[in-house]
Amino acid sequence: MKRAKRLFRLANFRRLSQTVCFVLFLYLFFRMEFPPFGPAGEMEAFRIQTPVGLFFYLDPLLAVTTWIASREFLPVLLWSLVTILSAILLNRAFCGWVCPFGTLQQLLSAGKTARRRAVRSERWRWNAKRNLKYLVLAFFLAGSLLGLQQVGWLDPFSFLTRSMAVWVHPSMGLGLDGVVRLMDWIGWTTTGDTLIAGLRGVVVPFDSRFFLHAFCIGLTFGVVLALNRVETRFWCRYLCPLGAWLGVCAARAPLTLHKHADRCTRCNRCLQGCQGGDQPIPGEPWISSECHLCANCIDVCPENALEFRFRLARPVPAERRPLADLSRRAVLGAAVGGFVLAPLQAIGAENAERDRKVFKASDKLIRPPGARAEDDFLSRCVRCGACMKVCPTNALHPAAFEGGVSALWTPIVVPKIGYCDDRCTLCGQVCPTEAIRPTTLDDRLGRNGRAPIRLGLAYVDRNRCLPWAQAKPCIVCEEVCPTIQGQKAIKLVRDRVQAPDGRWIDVQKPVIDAAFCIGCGICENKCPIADRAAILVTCVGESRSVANQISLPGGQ
Amino acid sequence: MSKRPFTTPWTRREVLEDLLVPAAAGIALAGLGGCGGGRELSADKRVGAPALDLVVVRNGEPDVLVREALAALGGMQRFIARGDRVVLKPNIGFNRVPEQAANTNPDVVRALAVAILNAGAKTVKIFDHSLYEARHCYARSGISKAVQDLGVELEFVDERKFVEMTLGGEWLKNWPIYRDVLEADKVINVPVAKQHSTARLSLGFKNLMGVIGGRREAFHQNIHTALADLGGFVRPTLTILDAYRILVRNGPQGGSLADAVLSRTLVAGVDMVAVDAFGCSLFDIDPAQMGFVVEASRRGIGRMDLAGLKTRTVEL
Repeated sequence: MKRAKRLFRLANFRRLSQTVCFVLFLYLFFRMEFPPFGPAGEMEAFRIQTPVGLFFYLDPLLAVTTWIASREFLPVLLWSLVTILSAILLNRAFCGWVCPFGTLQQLLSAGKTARRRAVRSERWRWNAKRNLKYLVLAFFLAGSLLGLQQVGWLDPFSFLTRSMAVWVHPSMGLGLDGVVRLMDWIGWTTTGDTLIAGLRGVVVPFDSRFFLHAFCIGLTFGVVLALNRVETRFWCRYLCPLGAWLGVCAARAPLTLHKHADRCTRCNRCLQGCQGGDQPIPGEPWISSECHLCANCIDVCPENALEFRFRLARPVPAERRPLADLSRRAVLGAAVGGFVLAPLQAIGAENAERDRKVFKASDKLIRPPGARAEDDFLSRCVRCGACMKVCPTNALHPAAFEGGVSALWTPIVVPKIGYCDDRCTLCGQVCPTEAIRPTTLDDRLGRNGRAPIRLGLAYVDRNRCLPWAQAKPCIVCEEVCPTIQGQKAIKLVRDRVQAPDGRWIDVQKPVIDAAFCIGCGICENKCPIADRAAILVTCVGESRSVANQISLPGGQ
Repeated sequence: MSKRPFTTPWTRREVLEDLLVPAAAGIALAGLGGCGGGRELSADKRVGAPALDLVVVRNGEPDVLVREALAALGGMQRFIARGDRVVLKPNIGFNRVPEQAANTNPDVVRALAVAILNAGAKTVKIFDHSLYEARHCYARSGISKAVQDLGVELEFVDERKFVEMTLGGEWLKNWPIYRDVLEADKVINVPVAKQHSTARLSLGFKNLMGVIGGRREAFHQNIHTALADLGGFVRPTLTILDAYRILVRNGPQGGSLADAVLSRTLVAGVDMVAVDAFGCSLFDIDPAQMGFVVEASRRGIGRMDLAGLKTRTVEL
């Protein structure tokens, strides 16, 4: 009986919930992938049936900032009300029971030695620096008022998914590749074949893939994880704006930690396992907005001096101090900061489009198919990297400064590394905030009276192209160019040219028929000139822009 | 190795010396054994020539075309021995549906796979080194669905399985070839007939570009020599040209239904040059104008003199 009671204690239910949610997160992450089952009809796009955006939909921070910044109500984000409700009733239980990033922090915080704990004994005590996360929240909320979605920097699901997609997942592929090549060397070739066949496209990338700026993103991730060795759940306590948002919601939660001060022997065990740093020990004020409801304090207390109680009566018990020490001045300051920095970032943007004119467009800001106009795009994109994870050709990469500071780590197409398949709509399917709109094959290919989605336009570099510059035959770009509305955008014109040795040679030279170019970049991708292709795609002519065009609408 | 009871704790040094060093030595020995034990790899999969050089079947549905062509050649068991490991190499290069005629017809592939299995083959492996993203190609071509219940191995190309081989061609001296092709007992080449801008037509020879790795895009600078070099090294047991639908414009991937023509024809033979030479006639092209056919014929890889070949035409 006693053993059963020990098994069915609150902390164990919390562990179970964390395990389930973490595994679910991983499962959904790995299902952001080309679906293993074919489409219903063969002229339709391949669809991911799994709700891979679930954790994003449950994220109230993402919901509020997206709604405000985009000035549009995206209904699917209403799921986040569930999370809000949980915070109103159960404090930050979401952080302790559900959040997969929190679970990861907790795992990496575990196992500090007793000596280390003793050295850092003051870590259990509340300190005002933990208010930083509320200031981060105020900063992001204020920025969203001006139409800039910046929350992706530190939103836990965006942060985790981006780091996994760009850094962890490709590294897993490289790791498996290394192991299998070692097995090849030993002579276990068939085992290696089986491993690759079974795991690729499931838990490792289908083909080995690389991402621009993966190192910066990986380093950021590594630092955040390493901070757990400095202090338990450093991210959750100091940085996480979602935690702050839930903390605000939890300020008047009816759930309280009731302390029997008379039973306490000051053994301090409750402090050692505490995840949120909310001062569970009797005699100190308990900080409700920091409590993750991990129940470790109750679990370890040998005197049963602690218990959770629902208390609907007001006023708040004397020993809890919601949102401790948060000064109005600091919050206002952060909000003003967010307000001021938003336009400052936008001024740095290289693709600002105002009043139907482009200012200093960067030609390499090629957005994924279905991406909204740049301002609208930046008001939604949370830089979660889901599109980069799902992209089957490794075409999507985190941007550096092609779109200015405000577009850092948002997705761009880099055709030299991967082309955009003309019959693929996966990135639009996984985008949680519809910064990349869901599209159909009719949209992409311009069927049934629609115009095809154009990402940009290809042009031939005649100084590098083999038939143009070296009198050598080559038609690879024309060969791979998809047929859009019945024609290829790359056409071959016959010509007789003189080779450097004086001989006259018949060649076919590629020329661009812009009316049929969708800017997919397969020509640049497959061009045999390996370093800088002789045919390049730039973003001019992209469907999403009014101004970034060559001709007037209707003209050719 | 030191003699000591397991009950006392081991130091780090002892673990290294007593366990890891012998283990590493064992692995190294096994590795050496694995390297030395490799058998001679070849891509010549031909068997003796049948009574007929060429079989052309017209006016049928894909599975009927295959059945009739094989019957005329003496049945699949003439080419496949019991217990053979067989590679079936269709074109699955493009993210296109069967109606667009960019990939080999899925029903042709299925009928062939069934015939190979019925002939007693131990394994049938189907793959292509797709030009477009492989999973899209395999699914949209209809081939993965067509063969899923047959017990064949439909495999995505694993880049590490390309083995550098000595082709000894005029242009291509060495080139990476897919290991399964080298290890297979028989290779059945099942191209689809398509227009192509440098090769003019993509037929049996061009389809072999799906069993190789490396920088294939550089072939186009001298395509006819490259194809003859490749076809001189990889010698399929049988070549079956799927011309149920042929792609007459915007090849090799097409994308528009208007570019595919229903031809309802299948050409089969053990001589890939003869099959490709006949394939030219489907597009009203004289084989004497097809660079790689002429080149391959000149090198003696096969015969292109259609008039001199023993041909049977089956009209359904």
